Amino acid sequence: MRMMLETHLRQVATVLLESAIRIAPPDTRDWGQAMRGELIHVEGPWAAVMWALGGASVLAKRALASLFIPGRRGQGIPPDAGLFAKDVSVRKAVLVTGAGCILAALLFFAAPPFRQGIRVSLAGWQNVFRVTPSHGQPGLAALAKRAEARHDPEGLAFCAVRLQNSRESARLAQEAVRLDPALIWVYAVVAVRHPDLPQISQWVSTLEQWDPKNALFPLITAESIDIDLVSKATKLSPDEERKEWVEDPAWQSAMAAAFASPKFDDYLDRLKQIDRKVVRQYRFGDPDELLSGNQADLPSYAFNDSQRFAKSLLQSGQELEVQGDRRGAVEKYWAVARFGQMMDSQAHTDNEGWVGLQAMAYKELQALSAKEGNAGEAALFSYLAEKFDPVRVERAGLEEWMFDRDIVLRNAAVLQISSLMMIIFSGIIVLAALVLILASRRGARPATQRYKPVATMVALAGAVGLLVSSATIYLTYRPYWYILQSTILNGDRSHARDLREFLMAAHVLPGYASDSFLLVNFPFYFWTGVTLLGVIGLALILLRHFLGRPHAHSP
Amino acid sequence: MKIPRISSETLLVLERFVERPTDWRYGYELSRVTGLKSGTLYPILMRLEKHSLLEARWVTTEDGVPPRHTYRLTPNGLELARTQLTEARQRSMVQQPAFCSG
Repeated sequence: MRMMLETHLRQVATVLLESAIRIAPPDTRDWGQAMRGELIHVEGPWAAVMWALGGASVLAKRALASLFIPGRRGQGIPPDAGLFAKDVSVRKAVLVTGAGCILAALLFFAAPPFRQGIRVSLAGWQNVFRVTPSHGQPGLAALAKRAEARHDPEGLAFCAVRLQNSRESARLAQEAVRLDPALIWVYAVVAVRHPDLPQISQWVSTLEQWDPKNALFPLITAESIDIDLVSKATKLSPDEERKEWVEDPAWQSAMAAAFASPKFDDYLDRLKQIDRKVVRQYRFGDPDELLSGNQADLPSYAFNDSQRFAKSLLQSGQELEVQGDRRGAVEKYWAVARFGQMMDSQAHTDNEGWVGLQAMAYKELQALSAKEGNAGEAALFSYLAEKFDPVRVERAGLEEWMFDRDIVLRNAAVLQISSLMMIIFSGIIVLAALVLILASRRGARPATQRYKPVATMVALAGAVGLLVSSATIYLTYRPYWYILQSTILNGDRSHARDLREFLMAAHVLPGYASDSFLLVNFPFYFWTGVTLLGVIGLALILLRHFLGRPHAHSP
Repeated sequence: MKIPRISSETLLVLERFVERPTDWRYGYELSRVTGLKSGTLYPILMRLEKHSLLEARWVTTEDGVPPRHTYRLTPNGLELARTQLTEARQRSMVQQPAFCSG
């Protein structure tokens, strides 16, 4: 076994050296053969591998020099070089390679995904150093100013639905509708995103006249009542709270109107069209600001409490059934099933609560149909009840979420580390360049000149690192750039959640995260540690290599 | 004219050649006595040979074993090596502290 390992290691060493001889310039090949001739006499298989590695590095350097230095093709050593001027051509080749890497890294800035990736990775640091207010939206504020100056209602609507400042959002919405009354639906989107606005009741009555059958408006009204009740709820016991809710006539009336409405439109299709135009027209590309407000498509409190109303409908249906009022009971069950279907068509009912309520409504309808002897209808309702089985639906959803989230967190960590490494490598290059400049000056002390080879190698390592980290940023962020393009320009929101999660994770920096995010951000700590150890290790190896050589008169 | 600084590694190699100036030395042997790795030793040998300070020849030892390159200093190389080593020793004596025990 040991013999086999030794034989294999020697074979590896031979192959390595012979490969290097093949790429070496013609005048250096003899030297390659000389190293190859010694290989068989080197004691120990690992020592043979190290011998081959050293020899191969010499030949590779010569090959590199002959490629990069003009007029040196095929020549290993410049004929006019001084005896002890150590490998001037190699040093030049190293510097040319380093400059090439830096230039290639800079070329990445020409690619929009790279520029956006850099902005995203630096956003977390901006929060740390308070370059912008923690909830500031400077890009949107500037765009709103430009849109106002141009009297552009679509630009104003674009900003109104995204601004986190509710008063400014309402002002821009009103200005947009004043300029173009067809944009009245913007009120509904703004009302959903800022349910505390005083203008809401006035907006809802205007909207109900404009689009009378939409379930969205009664839900917005219910939302306002919900928020009032939530603010009171802290002072009430849970029983009192429940009673307060169910008995509130305005809330009951708004919910009944929502459940009786034949359609639901959140106007996001109209918003997509505006997004597309405005993003192109104003060349607006900040992913955080573009996606801000893209989450709240529904009045969230009202939608969650619609489950409470649905439960009360199912309960009253059962009571009517007991009383013998089958028709009344069917109407109640259908109201729940229909509202669920209506919301389902907009992909809003993928939560466990609503899925379960739909299943319950269909089960009640199935039981009634079976009692009436209508086997066909009963089979259909049974199928629908099974389709909305909450256990099955939830399990599928959870697995998908965990998978996406893992990848998203890993990518965010890679982006953060790469941008950090890009900054570190830039600093290393600047320092190495300073040392090289100082060492190259006339009258530089010999002690300074001793650091020249180290600085050259460090500069090259920094340049390669800069190129690798730039390429990593580009490759990591590119899919998210496409998701953003697809979300905004094509209206495809299927992966918007991934992008939102990615942006959120990429903004969390070590030491500035909340407790829950510290756990989530574990990959960042892990990979940063691994990368920094790698860089320190490389630096130590280089220093040992260049500074730790034996001296001429050492014993 | 700027005189290039001689490296400590080159001095180390020259010192070993000067010890037995007429002997032909193998690369691996030089590596062992100087402690230099192949990646450091061979560029030095290549430069010395390029400036005709070192002569090299191929030696075939036995069948099936690749020939070996052997080296020794040329008369010019020997002269330069002695001069450089003497200068280096003088420099190191000047740099040593006055009351250094070693």
